[in-house]
Amino acid sequence: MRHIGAGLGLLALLGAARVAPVAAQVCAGLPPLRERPFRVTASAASYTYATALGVSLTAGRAIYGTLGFGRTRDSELDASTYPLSLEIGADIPVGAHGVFLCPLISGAVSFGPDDFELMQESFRYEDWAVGLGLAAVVMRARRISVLVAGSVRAALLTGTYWPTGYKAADGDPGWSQTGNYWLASLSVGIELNQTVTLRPGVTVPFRVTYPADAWFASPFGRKPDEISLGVAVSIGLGRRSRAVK
Amino acid sequence: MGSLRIAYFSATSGIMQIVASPADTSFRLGSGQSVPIEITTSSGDREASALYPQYCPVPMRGWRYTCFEFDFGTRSDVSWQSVNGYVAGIGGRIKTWLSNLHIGFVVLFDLDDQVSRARSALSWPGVTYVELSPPPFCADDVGNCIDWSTLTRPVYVEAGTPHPGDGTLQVQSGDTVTVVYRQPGGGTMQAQSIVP
Repeated sequence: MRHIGAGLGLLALLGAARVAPVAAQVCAGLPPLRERPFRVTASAASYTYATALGVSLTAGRAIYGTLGFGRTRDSELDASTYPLSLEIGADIPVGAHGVFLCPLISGAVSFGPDDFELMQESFRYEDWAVGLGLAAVVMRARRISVLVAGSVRAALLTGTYWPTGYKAADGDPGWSQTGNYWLASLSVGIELNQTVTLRPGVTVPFRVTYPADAWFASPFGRKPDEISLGVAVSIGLGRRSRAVK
Repeated sequence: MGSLRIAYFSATSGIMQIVASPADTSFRLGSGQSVPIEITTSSGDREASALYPQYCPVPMRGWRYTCFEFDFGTRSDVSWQSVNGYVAGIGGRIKTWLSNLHIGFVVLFDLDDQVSRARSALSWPGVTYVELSPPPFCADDVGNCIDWSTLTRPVYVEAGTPHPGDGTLQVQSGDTVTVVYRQPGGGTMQAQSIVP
């Protein structure tokens, strides 16, 4: 809990600082929202025990907000959870060499799986994280730009399950447990024609800790310390209106 | 030392169940990993197969259940004959049918989509519930805790002339069935059973 508090403090401090009107989303491995105010992204990732698909809508300028929805499915256990997430972040330029520092905060609620392992139990996950990233525009040409971004975030995850079906009559209020973990990510964003961006990347959950036997207080479908590959395709939408001199 | 045994054999129900306990009880297979075995019969069949953990899923991923198995309950007017076709349809066989309780215990011969195949039984006529078979009750202080290193594999058997490599063990009465298993960490073991 202490690192979450420290992260929130850092985010507030950076938010209070003067944020130049540039390049939100560079730290997410995506091009700036300078020209196009909206961005739609579709993503896929493969974990040890599950596959994750998601779509998100991003809006903003110096500070961005991303609303996402997805599905993470563990086919072996015939179980799916549906995360609804919100991430708010900012890209703060460091010097004049296309390098950015990126505080972020995110929250997600995941619904399901239901009737997990035919046990008449439903699950819900709440996942809160704060993080810090570093990003750089490593190449910029007329038709192609390449961005590299990395971040580390500290997350607090509460898993709750409760009885359903015939078990619900027992009046069991369910059980919640909270664990925490860190998530490191590294991605490369390749923007083509200032419109479409392809972003391959890896993520690693590490220092995954949770109370004994409370396996549901850890990231669904993921194995601690696994390096998983993901890819996203993103399209910038809309045009910013320009002030007439 | 470790052990290997043919824990269950029934040509009638079409099931042979192999159970192995590695000498190293700390041994754990990861998700999707297996230990190869070879099964031969004195009448000439030869099948390559593999052992998997007796209990699923891998640690700290969900509630534990018995790999390859599930059970279901039915209304009192349902007979095992009426559900037998459905069980075969998902690639399983009824291992035990408790006619007084109307409960069937099913064995599947592979782990692919075990949970979703078990879930499909909820749509069978007359089925009232389905559950993944739980591990035996285990109490640390009584010393009866199950060995999480135990490996298992059900194999489909049928009476007939051998067809090596077809994934089904063809047996004849009086056959000797031999299972050979290379222990994780070294050493070969074998188990034998005579077909009644």
